[in-house]
Amino acid sequence: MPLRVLLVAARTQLRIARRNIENVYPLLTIPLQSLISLAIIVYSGRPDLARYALVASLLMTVGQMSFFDASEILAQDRNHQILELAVACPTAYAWPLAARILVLTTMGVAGFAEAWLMARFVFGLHITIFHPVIFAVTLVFTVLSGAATALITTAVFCLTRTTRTYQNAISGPLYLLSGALVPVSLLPTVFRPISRLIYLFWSADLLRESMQPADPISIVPRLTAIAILGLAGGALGSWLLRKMLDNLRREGTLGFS
Amino acid sequence: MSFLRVFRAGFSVGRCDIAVFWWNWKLWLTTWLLRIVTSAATWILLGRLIGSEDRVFYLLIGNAVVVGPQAAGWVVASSTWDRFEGTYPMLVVSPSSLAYAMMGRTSIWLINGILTSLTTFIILIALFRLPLPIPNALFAPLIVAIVCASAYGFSLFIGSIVIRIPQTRNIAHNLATILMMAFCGVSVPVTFWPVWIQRIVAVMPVTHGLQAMRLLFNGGSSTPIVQAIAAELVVGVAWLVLGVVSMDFMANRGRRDGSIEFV
Repeated sequence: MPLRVLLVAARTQLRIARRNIENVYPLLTIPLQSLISLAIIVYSGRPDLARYALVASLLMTVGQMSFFDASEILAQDRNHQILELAVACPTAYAWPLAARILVLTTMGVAGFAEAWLMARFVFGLHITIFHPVIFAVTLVFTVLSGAATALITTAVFCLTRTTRTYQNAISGPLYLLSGALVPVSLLPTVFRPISRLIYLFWSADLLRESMQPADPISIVPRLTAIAILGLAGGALGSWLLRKMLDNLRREGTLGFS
Repeated sequence: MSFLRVFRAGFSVGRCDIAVFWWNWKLWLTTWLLRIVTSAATWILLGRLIGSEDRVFYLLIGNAVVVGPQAAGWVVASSTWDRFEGTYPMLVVSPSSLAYAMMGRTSIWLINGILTSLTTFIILIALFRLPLPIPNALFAPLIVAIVCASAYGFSLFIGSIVIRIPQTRNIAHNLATILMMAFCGVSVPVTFWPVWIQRIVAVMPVTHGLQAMRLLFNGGSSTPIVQAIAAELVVGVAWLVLGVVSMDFMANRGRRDGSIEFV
């Protein structure tokens, strides 16, 4: 896969995002939700839990940028009749698509900065990242896994009657089961095995622990879990995408379904 | 042209709109309601993380009510769909008021809001074992309907604004929902915020209706409950009138400067 194709795809996505407000709207709305969580935490006299609000803002923005925009990219390509040209190219569609998703997912990191600013200037909370290296490494793993996993949703949405129905449904269960805002230990035990299959679950705990003075434990196994889930998601996503595009191409319904 | 006739025609389009997203009730339950209930449960569990069952029940009532206005808020986006379908100029040049047609098309989301809130209430009450004060709780559906109707009027007003800039429809809807959740007593009491915010939320939907709902569940006397419901109704009617006036004003402005299809 020539690097040039990936760079061109990434640059194109940046240009599209600059012009299309729909592409970046999670950046404007999701971090605002930390206003709600921080208000609940401060009102309840538990400012020590503020890190939960910040990590939730970060993970939900990253998740929303990848899962939301992944399906949007495909829908936009289909609407603009680019999809037919893209799949006719000798380059596998999954590669430039992954590069475009990665650009948007990386932008989701801004969700943390926005929530941090809100905590600092609206509620006067000073939140320290005690283990910045662990935090940064976890963030990189999370973004890469998010972009890779988003290929699955892209592929699945590709064949459905309407992407919106499933796209809108995914966020609630995903963030609840992954413990993005509240730890999974508060859920019934029956859900815990499912949580372990979501990369955000491993990221959430590690990110929160990196914001506490105590040294986080089991760092490498948890980073490995994020990486494995990301790789598995990426592999499954690109396989599904190829199968589904082949199917659409074979039946001649690429632009109609 | 009578209001009812135009409204009915618009409503039949609205029914098709909702069927684009959920073409049967099973899909509605397994996608839309699943998302709404799990999102609400996430906020409620924050109360459990804090370690207070009072916070859990406070967040439960707040979230079960606000999901109605959140669902009814789809009015904002649906107000702009005629722009994308190319039917907006035809509605504007027709002799009937644009607001009648818009109210017809968008009112399906009010029904969706009421059903969403009621179903969410039932599920969350069962999940978190909220004690139900009978017979007071029997009036809860009435308050839910009034809060959703009030939010509908507000959303129609927002829709009339974003109809000129349709690409902002989703942002406007989401912002309105988040601000309601933050400031209107859903997550923390209104008194937590500065006085100037309290003054603004006094004329916003949800605030008074939610207050009535909390009084109802806390076994409050009937007078403050009725007063809060009346305040919610007044706020809702005011936003509805503003929305209707604004909808036609925006259409006339677009017609006057020829920008109906270009903005």
